Amino acid sequence: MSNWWRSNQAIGLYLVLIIGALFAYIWFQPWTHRIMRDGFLLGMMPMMGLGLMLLCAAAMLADPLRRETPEPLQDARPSDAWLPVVMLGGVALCFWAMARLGFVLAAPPFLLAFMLWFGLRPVRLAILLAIVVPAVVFAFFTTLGVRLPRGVLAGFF
Amino acid sequence: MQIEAFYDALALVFTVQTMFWLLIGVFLGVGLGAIPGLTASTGIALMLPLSFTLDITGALGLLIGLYKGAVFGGSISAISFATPGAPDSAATVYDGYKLTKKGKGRKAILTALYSSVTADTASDIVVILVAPTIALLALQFGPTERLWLMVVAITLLGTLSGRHLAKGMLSAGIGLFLGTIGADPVSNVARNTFGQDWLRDGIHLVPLVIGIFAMSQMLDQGLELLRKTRKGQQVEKSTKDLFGKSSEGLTFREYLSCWREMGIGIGVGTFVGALPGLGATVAAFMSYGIAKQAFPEKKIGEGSIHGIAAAEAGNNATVGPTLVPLLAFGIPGSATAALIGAALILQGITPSPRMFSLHAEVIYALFIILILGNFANLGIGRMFAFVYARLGQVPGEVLVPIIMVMAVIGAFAARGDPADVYMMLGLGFLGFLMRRVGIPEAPLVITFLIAPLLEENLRRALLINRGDWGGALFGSALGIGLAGFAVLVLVITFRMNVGNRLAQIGHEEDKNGK
Repeated sequence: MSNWWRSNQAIGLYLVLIIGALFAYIWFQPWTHRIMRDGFLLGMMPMMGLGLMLLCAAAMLADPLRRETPEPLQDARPSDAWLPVVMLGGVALCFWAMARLGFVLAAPPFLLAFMLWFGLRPVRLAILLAIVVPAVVFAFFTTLGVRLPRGVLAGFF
Repeated sequence: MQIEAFYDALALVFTVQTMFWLLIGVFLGVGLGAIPGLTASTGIALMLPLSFTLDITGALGLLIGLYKGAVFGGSISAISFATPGAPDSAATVYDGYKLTKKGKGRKAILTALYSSVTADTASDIVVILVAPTIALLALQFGPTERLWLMVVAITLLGTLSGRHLAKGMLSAGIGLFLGTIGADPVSNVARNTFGQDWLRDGIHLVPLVIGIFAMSQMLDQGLELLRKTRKGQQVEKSTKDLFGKSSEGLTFREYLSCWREMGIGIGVGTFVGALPGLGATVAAFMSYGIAKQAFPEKKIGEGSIHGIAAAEAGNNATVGPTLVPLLAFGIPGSATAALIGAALILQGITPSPRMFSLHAEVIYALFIILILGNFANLGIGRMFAFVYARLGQVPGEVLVPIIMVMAVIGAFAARGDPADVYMMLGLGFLGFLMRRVGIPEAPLVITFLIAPLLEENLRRALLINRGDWGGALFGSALGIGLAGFAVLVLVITFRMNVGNRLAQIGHEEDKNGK
C-alpha cells in the first residue's frame, strides 16, 4: 500500500482529477456551446479529446494493469520532479540571455554550467567544449542561412 | 506512369544539393543511431527546422537519409558495447555482442550493414509498387470513409504503441486536444486558447515535436546523469578490434548464407512497417524470433551472423513501408512518418492520395531518394561504421547540454517566435512526465497531425448529409466496415492484451539471451 501512489491506479486517479478540472473549465467557456453556420458545435472536438482522455484515465483505475507501477517510477525520488524543472529553467534562462546577449555569448556559460553539473571532468575539457561547440554551431547555421540571435554582437556579424 | 513527372523528379533529385543533403542525412543518421539514447525521431525532430531552408528534394534527402542511417546506426553500438543505440536494435545485441567478444566485431557490423541495406532496398521496391495502387483506391473514399480510416489509424496507434491500452489511447486523446487549440480549421474561429492571443494560431508542429521527442528525452537522460545510474560501458577496448585490419571481415558466401533470415526480415518488416503503431522494434524481435525457431541448427543467440541478419533486416525493412499509410491515405503510421509528413506540409505539400496526381514529381523524387538512400547508407556505413563505433563512447555529460541548445535553436529558428521556445520547453516537460508514467509519445504527435483533418472530414460529411449524423457517420458500407474494424481492434486488443504480448516479445528474448 505504501507504494500505491506510484501505481497505474493512482496515476489514473491524478489524471481523472486534472482532466476533470480541465473538462469543467472548457465546458463553462462560452465558445464551447457556440453553434457554427454548418451546425457544428465549436467545442465538440476539444471536448472529444478531453472525453477520450477522461475515459482512458478512468479505465486506468480499474483495468487489469492497475496495480502495476511503471518502471521509471519504481525507484522515483522527490528530486525527479524538481530537477527537470530546474533543467528547463536553465534552458529558458539561456534562451532569455540569448535574445539579449546573442547566441555566441549566452550558450557557453549554459553549456559549461550544465556539463559541470552533469559531472563532466576535467574542468578544462568542459571549458574548451563550451567555447568550441557554440562557435561551430553558430558558423554552421550561419553558413546555412539560419539567423541565430546576435544580441549585442549584432554589429560584428 | 507519368513519364514527364518522372523526368522532372530525376532532374530534381540528381542535383549536387540534393545528393549533398542525402549524404549529410545518412552521415548524421548513422552517427546519431550509434549514440545510445538518441533515436531517429529525435534526430528528425531536431533537423526539421533546418529542412525549411532547403528545397523539397533536399529536405526529403536529409530526413529520409537520416532515418535510414539511424536505423542501421543503432546496430553499431549494440554490437560494440551491448548497448543498442535505439530500441530497434536491441535484438541485435544477443548475437552481435557475442561476436564482438569473440573478436569478430567487424564481421558482425558488416553483416548488420549488408542485411540492413538489402532489406531496406527490397521493402522500398514493395512500397514503390504498392503505394500508388493503394492511393488509387483511397481516391475513391469520401469524407465518411476518410473519417473512419483516421479513427482506425488512431485506434491502431493507441492500442499497439505500448503494452497499456488505456495509456496509448490517452496519448491519442492528448494529441486530439492539443490539435484543437487555436482557430478551427473550417470556420477559422478561435477556440480553446485559454484566453491567450498568442495561442490563436494553435500549437506549431516544430516546438511540439522537438519538445515531445528531443527535449523530454534530454530531461530524462539529464536526470539519469544526475542520479549516476548510468552503467559504465563494459568493453572499451573492444572497439580497437573493429579497427584492426587483422579482424575477420564478412565473405560474400557468408552474406549469401543469410538469405533465409533476410527474407524473413523483409517479409515481417514490410508487413509490420506498413501497419500503424507497431514499428521497427517489434519487427526486429519478431523476425529474430521466427528465424531462431525456424533454424535451430544455425545457433541463433549464441553469436551467429544469422541472428544479426534477421534482426537488422527486420528493423530496416520497416523504413520504406512506414511511409505507405502517409502517402496512400495522408495518415502517418509512425512517429517518423509523421515527422516526414510534417516536413512535406511545411514545404507546402499536404500528404494525401491526391499527391500522386498533384505532385507526382515529388512522389517519384521520394521513391528515387528512398532507393538512393540505401546506396548512401551502404557507402557511408562501409567507410565510417568503425569510426562511428567510437561515437557511442561520447559521454552523456557532453551530449545532453549540446542537444538542449540545439532544441532551443530548432524551436526558435522555425518561425523566429520566442513563444515557440517556451512552448517547446512546456511540451518537453509534458513529454518527460509521459515517459515517466509510461505513456507513449507517438500517438500524441500523430493524432495532433490528424486532428484538423478529422474535423474537416466530419464536418464535410455532415454538410453532405445536411446535418444528419447517422448518414454522415454510417452512410456507406465501407464506412460501417471501418467503424466495425476500429471497434474490433479495441475489443481484441483489450481481451487478448495484444500490446502486452508484443512488449513481451522483447522481454522474453532478453531472458533467453541472458
